[in-house]
Amino acid sequence: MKSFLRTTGILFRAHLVRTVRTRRCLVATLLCLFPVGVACLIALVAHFEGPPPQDIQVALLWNMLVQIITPLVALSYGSAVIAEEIEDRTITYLFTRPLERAAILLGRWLAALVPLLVALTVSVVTVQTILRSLGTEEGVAWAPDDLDRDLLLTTLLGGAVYSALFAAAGALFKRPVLLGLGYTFVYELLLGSLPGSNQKATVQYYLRSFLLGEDETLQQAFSDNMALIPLAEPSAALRTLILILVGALLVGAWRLAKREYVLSA
Amino acid sequence: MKAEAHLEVYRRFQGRLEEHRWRAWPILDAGLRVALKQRKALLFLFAPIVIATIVFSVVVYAKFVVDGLESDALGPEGATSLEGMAMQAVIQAQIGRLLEVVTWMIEFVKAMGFAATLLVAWFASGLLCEDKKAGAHQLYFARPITRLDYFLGKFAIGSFFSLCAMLAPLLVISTVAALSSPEWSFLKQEWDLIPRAIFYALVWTTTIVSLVLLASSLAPRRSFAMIGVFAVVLLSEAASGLLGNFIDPAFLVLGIVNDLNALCYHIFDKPVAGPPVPVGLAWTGVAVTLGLSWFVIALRLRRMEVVA
Amino acid sequence: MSAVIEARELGRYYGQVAGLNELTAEFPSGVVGLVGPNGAGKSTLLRLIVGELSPSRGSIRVLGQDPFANRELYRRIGFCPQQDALYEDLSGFEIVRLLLRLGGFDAAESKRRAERALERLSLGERMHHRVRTYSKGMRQRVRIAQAIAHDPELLVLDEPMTGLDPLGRREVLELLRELGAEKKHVLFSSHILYEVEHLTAEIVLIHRGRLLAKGRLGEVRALLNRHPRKVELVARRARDLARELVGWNEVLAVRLGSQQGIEELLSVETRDVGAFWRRFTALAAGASFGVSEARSQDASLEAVFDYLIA
Repeated sequence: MKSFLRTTGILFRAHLVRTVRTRRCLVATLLCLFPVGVACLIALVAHFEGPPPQDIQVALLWNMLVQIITPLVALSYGSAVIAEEIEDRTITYLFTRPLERAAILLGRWLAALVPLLVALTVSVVTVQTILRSLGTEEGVAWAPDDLDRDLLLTTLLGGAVYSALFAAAGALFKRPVLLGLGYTFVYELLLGSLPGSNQKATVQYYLRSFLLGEDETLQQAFSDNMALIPLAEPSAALRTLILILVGALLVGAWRLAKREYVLSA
Repeated sequence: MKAEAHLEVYRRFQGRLEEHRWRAWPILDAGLRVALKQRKALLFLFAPIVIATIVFSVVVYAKFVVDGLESDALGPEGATSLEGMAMQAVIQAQIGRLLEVVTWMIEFVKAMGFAATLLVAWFASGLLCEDKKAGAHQLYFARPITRLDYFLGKFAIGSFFSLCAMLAPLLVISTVAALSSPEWSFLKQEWDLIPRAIFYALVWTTTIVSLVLLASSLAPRRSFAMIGVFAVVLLSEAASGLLGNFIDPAFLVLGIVNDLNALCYHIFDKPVAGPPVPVGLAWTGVAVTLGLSWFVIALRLRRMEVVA
Repeated sequence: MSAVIEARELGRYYGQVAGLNELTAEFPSGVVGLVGPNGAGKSTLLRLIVGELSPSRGSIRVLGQDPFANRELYRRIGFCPQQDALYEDLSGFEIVRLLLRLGGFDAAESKRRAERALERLSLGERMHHRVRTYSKGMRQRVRIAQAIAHDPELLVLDEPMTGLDPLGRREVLELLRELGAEKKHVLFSSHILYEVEHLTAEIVLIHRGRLLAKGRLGEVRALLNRHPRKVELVARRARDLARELVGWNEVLAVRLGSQQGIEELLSVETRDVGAFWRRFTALAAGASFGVSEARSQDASLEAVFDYLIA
């Protein structure tokens, strides 16, 4: 266990520095800051009497950030965890070292997770700050504080879960990006919009449950034209999301331990 | 062999490049050969298009033939005013069916635009970045081709798939409509649908392929280029929708798909269904997108040639 | 003494293609050269040895253990892959140090070993520059350095001379010789046959996934009865010499070759080169044929290689 943690730590430190220096990190950060740009534009151009409509927060933070940007950025980071080593053919060096292969997955995933979560945090907090500054009357809270906090937590949780899923996909499949895009924008969007228990087979359902819980007013605000089924309890949703995250990493690690990679010369 | 020694590091080329037409053709040919070897991807991506085409063709056929049989109520010679009215009703019904079919076909072409986007994203997103990654650009530019030839060849590869997805199904359905419409009414009255569809397909193709090649020129590898394409298309839609709904509908022009949809209705001369983007702004949006894409691609290609 | 590497009916298939097919061989200690044409299966065999791939059939034992994903064994093995793949944004030093850290060495020890390995491969100051600025030869040196930095018992190198200039190749050959002298086991593959020959007499030849020959080069050559040994002689009185040699039992054929000034070339085929040389030495010492050169033409690895794959 000690050597596993040690190896994970070494890989985490080494690849954190490498990840932050890549163009991918720059582009991913810019993507995460896209809602900030839009919020700035709204702040510059729009004039609100009173607080801005909550729909703006929903559209910026839920529709744009959680449903589109978070999976995309998580895909770019997560799929590269193992797939990049294979594509670059540097996995040979790691596979011929006396280390647990699971540590490769975990160390590199953590190194990808940190910049992802930092970018998402900056994005959410900045957007919320900008929106709060728009047309508020003194003494009138625009949106409940715990919604801001819950949105942030939901975004970070989404980032972590998606990146773990795509990291596992990188260990399991040859084309994790295609699978990730198909999963996020075909499977989740499609199943997510069909009424029925099929929605429970999506990460978005549990993220929505974690955020909205049993608050029906909020559920109305976040409905975005999708036929919703009753949501799970936030604590149950959180447990499920953590289970998905841990499960994905375990499956990925198990596959990585057994797998051989035929690299062309 | 006479011995020679050159101490200078670089000697300027003093020969003449021969003019050769259609220099982009070998690039297109080779690119298509490689792409068409990906049988699983072709099957996976074209299967829904083929299925949709078959289903839609059947629907169109049914609309003309089966529906038409229900209202076939012409009487004997020497029509009375009642028979005249029945005739008029039949003609009106036929016109109605024709318009309905044409509207469906326009929506079908729009839907095929999305299928075309997936195809182009799959087959064209690696065209520039994978060449750079493998160092193949050094082989290309050691040949007497210009950067424009190289770009045109790559552009043609992406366009091939897009046009296959958008035009081939339309031609099949048009043929079915022409053959099944009563007295060739489809050809007589809606013959201009096909050239309009070709024009729309070209506009869509040019825009999407340019965006995909832009992503490919900027990304270090194909997978990131694909993510970039999705990001640009989806985020532009999301941002334009948000700004258009809350600030000013003119912001809808920021969405590439909004622009292309507006142009679709303009090209087919149909009433707008969906967000109202003024046509002038839509053309401007598309032109800016193309201009920006080509400018950045040109810069990136220039770098590819100079810096190995 | 048990073999360092033992392969029994080893097979590895890539779909329908057989990378290796029923290969049974024992690799002795010391420096062993693995030779074969392109596509022979050398890289496949080396990857099986270092446990990157698992066999489709048969078995392989390295230092007495199954190498596939065998963490403990990797402490004793160093592998230099053929593919030119490194972390482009790191320096050579950073790469070797990182891999040493992953091998269990602490920070200070990793630094010391990385510097020593890279200096041994003449990278010097350049070791701290990013790998993307390196030439092909420098990249190769980094790959070799990461393989030797942890002082492995068994060193496996896939085409270690690729991309090196003649000076670099000489340095690597010298390094491998030193490692062999340090009682390390070295297994390397190469296309440069004369360099393999100068480095080691122990060779393993494979072709189309099968073992063609193994052992000391001279012994392998002696086994190739259907290819009589060729000897070249240069003499002033070549025709007289030829007349003399034709009557010998050991000699199968004599050919007169080109004129080289006042001397002439004579090619002799013999079934027993040892007996021929013994007899010829006595003849050359006694008679005045004016022999200026005598050489065995096809005892080289290249000749053996050509005979075996022909």
